Amino acid sequence: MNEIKENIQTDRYWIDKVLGGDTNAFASIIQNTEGLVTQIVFKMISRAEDRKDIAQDIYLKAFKSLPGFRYQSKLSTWIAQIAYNTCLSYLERKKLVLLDQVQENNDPDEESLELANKKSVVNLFNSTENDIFQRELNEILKSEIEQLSPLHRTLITLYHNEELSYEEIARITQLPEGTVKSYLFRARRSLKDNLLRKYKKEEL
Amino acid sequence: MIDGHLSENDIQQYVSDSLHCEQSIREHIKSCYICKEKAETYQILFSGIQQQQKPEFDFNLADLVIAQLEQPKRSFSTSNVVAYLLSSTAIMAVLISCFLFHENLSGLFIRYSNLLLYLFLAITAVALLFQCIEICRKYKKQIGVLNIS
Repeated sequence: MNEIKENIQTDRYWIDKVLGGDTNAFASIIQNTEGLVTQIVFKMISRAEDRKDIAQDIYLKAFKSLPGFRYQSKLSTWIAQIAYNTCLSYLERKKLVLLDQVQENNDPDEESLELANKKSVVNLFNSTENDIFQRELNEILKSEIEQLSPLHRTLITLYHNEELSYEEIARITQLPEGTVKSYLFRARRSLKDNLLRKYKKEEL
Repeated sequence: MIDGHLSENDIQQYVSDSLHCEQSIREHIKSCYICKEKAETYQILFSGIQQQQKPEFDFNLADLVIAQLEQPKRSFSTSNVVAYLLSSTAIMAVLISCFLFHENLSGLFIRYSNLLLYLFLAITAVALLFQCIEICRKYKKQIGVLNIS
């Protein structure tokens, strides 16, 4: 509870400064929220050339809309919502897919997973070469996360890397909390299945 | 006691937050080798995701954005000062005239008919109406800019 109050106080301090005409205070707001915004932009936008314009656009929108901020959420969550909406508009404009329905309905091949489970990553992880394995796993995982749809990638990142709650993620994406949980479940399962398949292939 | 194996959902829930998941799930994981191994796979997956490097822009975002923001106007421009001076002089002139000739002014309106007075009021009302419409239009435009979604 105290943490929420502290957050609101800090947010109010910076917002009041910006609204009072100190545009340099906005630089502090950018620095405080840049990590979260960068994660969203990188996970939703694949084209590196477009990210720069989108990131600037997000903060220009936030600056214009700042007088309308009503302290109903943390400032970072509100800016993350603007980031998500801006990226979503970009995907719509470019006719790119936010959530891959084919991937969504692609149930794992139970038989191959069963085989893969027999030589599970856990056994590999427990081996003496676990440092090498950890590095290798991180590389594979990175490429597997890239294969996910932009929405799944974003949800996984917001939950596991940014450690946001389901409620905050729901607020950012404007999806019901239940839908966020369900998409996260599918994204994790898909990652785990792909990881097991990858190891199975390498074993063969 | 749970019959058979746990669902993927239960295992994910256990790995995400083992303290707050059902007691039966925790007990099952302790006793079932297959479910325990699945949970460990998820644990490795989760820690692998957390170890992913955070992306960074190769430019200074704050500098780029701040350069594009309108700087607040701290001083009056020369044209503004002239405009304020002219307006104040005009207002002062009207007020001084009213003070000096107030006795003559009261007789000025008596000479004109009521019709002229109504005409004057009607023109003022129309001007005010246009002013209100303009304010509403500007307000809607600004709200449109604020609409982020």
